[in-house]
Amino acid sequence: MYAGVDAGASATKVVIVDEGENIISHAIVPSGINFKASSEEALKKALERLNLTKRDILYIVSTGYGRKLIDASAVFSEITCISRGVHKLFPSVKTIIDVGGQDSKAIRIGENGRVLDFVMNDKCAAGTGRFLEVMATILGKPIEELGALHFKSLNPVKISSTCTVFAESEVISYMSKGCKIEDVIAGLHNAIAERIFSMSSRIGFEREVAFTGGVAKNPGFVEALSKRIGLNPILPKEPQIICAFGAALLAKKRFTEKV
Amino acid sequence: MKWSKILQRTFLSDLLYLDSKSKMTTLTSISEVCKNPIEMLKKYKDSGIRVVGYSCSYVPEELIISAELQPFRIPNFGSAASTLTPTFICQFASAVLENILKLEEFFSGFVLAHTCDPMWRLYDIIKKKVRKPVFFLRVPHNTEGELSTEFFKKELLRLKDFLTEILGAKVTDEALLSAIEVCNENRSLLKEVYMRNDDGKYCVNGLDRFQLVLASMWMPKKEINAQIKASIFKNNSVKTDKVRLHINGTAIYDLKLIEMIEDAGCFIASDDLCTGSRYFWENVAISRDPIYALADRYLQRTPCPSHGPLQKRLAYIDFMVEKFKARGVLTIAERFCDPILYDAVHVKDMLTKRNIPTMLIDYENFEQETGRIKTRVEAFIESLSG
Amino acid sequence: MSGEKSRSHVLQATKKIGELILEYFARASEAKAQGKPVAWITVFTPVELLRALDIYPVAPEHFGAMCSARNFIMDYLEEAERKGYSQNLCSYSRCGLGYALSGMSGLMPPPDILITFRNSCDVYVKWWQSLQAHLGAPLFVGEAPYVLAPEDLDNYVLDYVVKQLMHLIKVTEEKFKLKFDEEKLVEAVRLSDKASELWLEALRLRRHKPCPLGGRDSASDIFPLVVMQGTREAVQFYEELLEEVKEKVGKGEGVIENEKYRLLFDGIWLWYAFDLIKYFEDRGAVFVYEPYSEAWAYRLDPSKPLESIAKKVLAMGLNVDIDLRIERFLKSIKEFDIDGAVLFSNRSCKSWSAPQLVTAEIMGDKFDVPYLIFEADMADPRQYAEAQIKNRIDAFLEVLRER
Repeated sequence: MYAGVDAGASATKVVIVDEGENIISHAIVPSGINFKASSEEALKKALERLNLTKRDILYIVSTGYGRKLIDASAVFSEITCISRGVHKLFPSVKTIIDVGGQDSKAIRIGENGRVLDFVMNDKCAAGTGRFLEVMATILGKPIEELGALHFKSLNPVKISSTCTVFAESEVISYMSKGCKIEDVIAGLHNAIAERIFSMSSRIGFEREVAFTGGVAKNPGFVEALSKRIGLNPILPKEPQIICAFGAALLAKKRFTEKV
Repeated sequence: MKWSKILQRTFLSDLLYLDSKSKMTTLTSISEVCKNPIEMLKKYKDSGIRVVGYSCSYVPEELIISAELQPFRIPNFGSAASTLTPTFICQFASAVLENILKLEEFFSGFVLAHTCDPMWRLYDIIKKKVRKPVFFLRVPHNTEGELSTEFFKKELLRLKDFLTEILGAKVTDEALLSAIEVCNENRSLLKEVYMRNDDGKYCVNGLDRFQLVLASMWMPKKEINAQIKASIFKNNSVKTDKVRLHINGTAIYDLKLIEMIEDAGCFIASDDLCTGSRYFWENVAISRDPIYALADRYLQRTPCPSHGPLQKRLAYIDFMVEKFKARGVLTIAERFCDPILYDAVHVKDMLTKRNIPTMLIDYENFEQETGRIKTRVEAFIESLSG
Repeated sequence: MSGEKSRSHVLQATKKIGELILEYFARASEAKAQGKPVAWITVFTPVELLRALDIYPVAPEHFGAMCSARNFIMDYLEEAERKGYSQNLCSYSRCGLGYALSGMSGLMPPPDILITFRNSCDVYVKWWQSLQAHLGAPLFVGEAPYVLAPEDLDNYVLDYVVKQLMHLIKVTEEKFKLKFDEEKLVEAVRLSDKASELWLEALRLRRHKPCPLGGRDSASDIFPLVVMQGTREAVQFYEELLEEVKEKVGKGEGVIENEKYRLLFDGIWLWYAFDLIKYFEDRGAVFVYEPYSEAWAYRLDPSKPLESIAKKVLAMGLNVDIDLRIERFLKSIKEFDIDGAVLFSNRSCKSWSAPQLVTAEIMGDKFDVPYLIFEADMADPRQYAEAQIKNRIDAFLEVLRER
């Protein structure tokens, strides 16, 4: 068995695969400030589901923001891991758009999942999960409900600011004027989609296009981004663990090469 | 204390060339100078050596040296952003500005060149803010053709007059020829070290090579020339099978960036940096009209993104990538550096045609963005290793 | 804040500009259809010279301003960004490059030659180099060295520019099988000078209270001087405009009735936000002087045509030493009786914005003129934080009110 640990800024994800490269277990825990501790916790959870211990893992690859701070046999960048993971599940994908808690990326991949080009936004909150978290708090709605509310909107508002801080004031202004909450939410999804579209256009949108990362679990956002790009994306069932999956695949590859 | 003319070569240590004119009394280590060039300024001041700060590699150091002044290229690192410039002016220019203001006491004067918009406007601001004499060298963007060379020659004559005033004496033709000789020697030595990269197996690593170039901009020429000779003798080439990269960019003074890139698992086989190969690639012709020869060399040299035709620069990058067998090209761009960012599109187009992967890394404040930069470099190297 | 809103006026002449622009582009396409060469120029290129060569000039900078004002710039910006041009680059250039990359089937005909003079900024050259790389048209890069002292308008610096103009003539004659017509040049210089004279006179009339010609007028009315110098239409336009302004002065009519604050505006306008000018006017503040408005009005001597236009290339506003610029600024504060200054820190124009803080400092210290600086972009509407900027304007006007 091989494990991939994605120590993201918001959440730590672990995926365990078997010799056949199938996902046999996974776990997601909040990262907090101690990556080592949260990665241990996530790994333990994933192993418990299989009734196994760490000794059953032949090789661990770590990736993500905190990748160098945890115990692993090797380290790889998220770009490489996401590409491997997506390619394994969907070999026809040529473009990946990954939107996580604190960054977003667009990756163009070639044959066998090789990375050809990529762009990242990890400096600015607008265009990441953080943006929606902040707005959800202001609107007083749990982030899981944003998706459903999006589809109720008939008249999305226009959020003109590209900056999270300024967009906050716009949202407050709309709400105080009595706008419907679903319209504001749809407007926010459109705004974040616009940011991501802008960043990704430098990579292009060669089909098939896949959406991954935690924010891809939000159907409202997926709808907004799909519309903006003008195509239907491939959506993994568990978009948040694709990166850890790719890391696990790399773990198997590395181990097999060494033997 | 009297120093006699001694030239010592050993295989065991770096050495200093001492002559009767030298007032330097301590050994200078290249890596120390590169880590902290300000210390060099203090040494000059203590020894009574007059220093002229300059901003751009289009300023002929030869002229400064011929006026018995020490040229010193003003770096950008060590300074925070300036309150005197807007946020979208490149951090490079802001930091150079702050350094000039902070270190004015160590200089006898400044020569700023018309490199690009922010560096142009730097002259405007410096003029109002410093007391020491400042000269603005109008380097033509269009470097081609006799008209430009003739104009630039007149500008260099104007610069010569300016330096004459600081020196307090006339600059002789002899002094100029001697300065050209020592600078030519410096450039030839740097090139010799550089050329060791081209066999694909043995090399002098990027960090060491860049240190020699930077030290050449901060130390007395005779001294650095002696040290480079010693290092060539030492022959510190090593075998490497790391991924070979070419770095495309402007001026990088903070070698922590270079170190970080090589630590991510690659070897910088070649570059087209202003503080790299472009500094020394061409020499000045020895001619009866040395000012004209300077004008010609400085305009016709391998162009930077701010001067000369785009095609010429692309051809140079193409040549370097092929000669030094780079597997990929990293473009390091300051986030608001217009010339590099316009060029980047065409560099990418050209390299894509040759099937060479490229990656653009932009940054504003290197110290604060090491994580970001490292992630990208690592991912890029991984994609090249397959 | 100030309760009463003043109604603000725009000149009749200003209302004609839209039509003039469309006619001008139509003629560009006609010229192209007739096989005449079309040049894409940066706006301080001597158009008078091109008239003598029968080359039709179009200015992508103006095109960018127009696209922004008419709200169709986004497609071009996005096209350029898709190609890899950073969002931090000049928005005019991103618009022009996006246009060039998407087929050029709009108002501006494709270029037969690209001509630029490096007087405003270095971006001119980088942008034109990029256009050449994409379009393959021949490129002429003219050098206009920074004028460090008035002598530079008379010595080897001027000589260098004159020689380059002669070189440009030679190169275009050869390339397009044209014949340079010296008489046409003299006539074009004469007309250009006349148009400048008329416009400068109109600008001087802004000394009157109430000011007859406001920001929205000056922003649009410079158009004929930017690409139509040397034509009779341009002269006619300014003749009519001057008449109208004189009449207004005679009747004591101003941009607004209740003129409370007379302001200076430093920078290029926000083309997508003319309502911002109106925001000032609604609160009793009128723009009475802008360095931008006189940038293209330069007196020429028809008896020395090449030398005159070479001087014009050199003496362009941003290309003269900071002390000369500050002098002009401070003179205008007196001349137009200015109460305060608004400085637009334009993300797209580093050349203009970089020294602004220092200039403002001097203005504030030496002349005790209150100033407001705000940051945005001249043509890219995404960089505009409207609420925050209006907030600052309100605070600034309050400061003026207390004086």
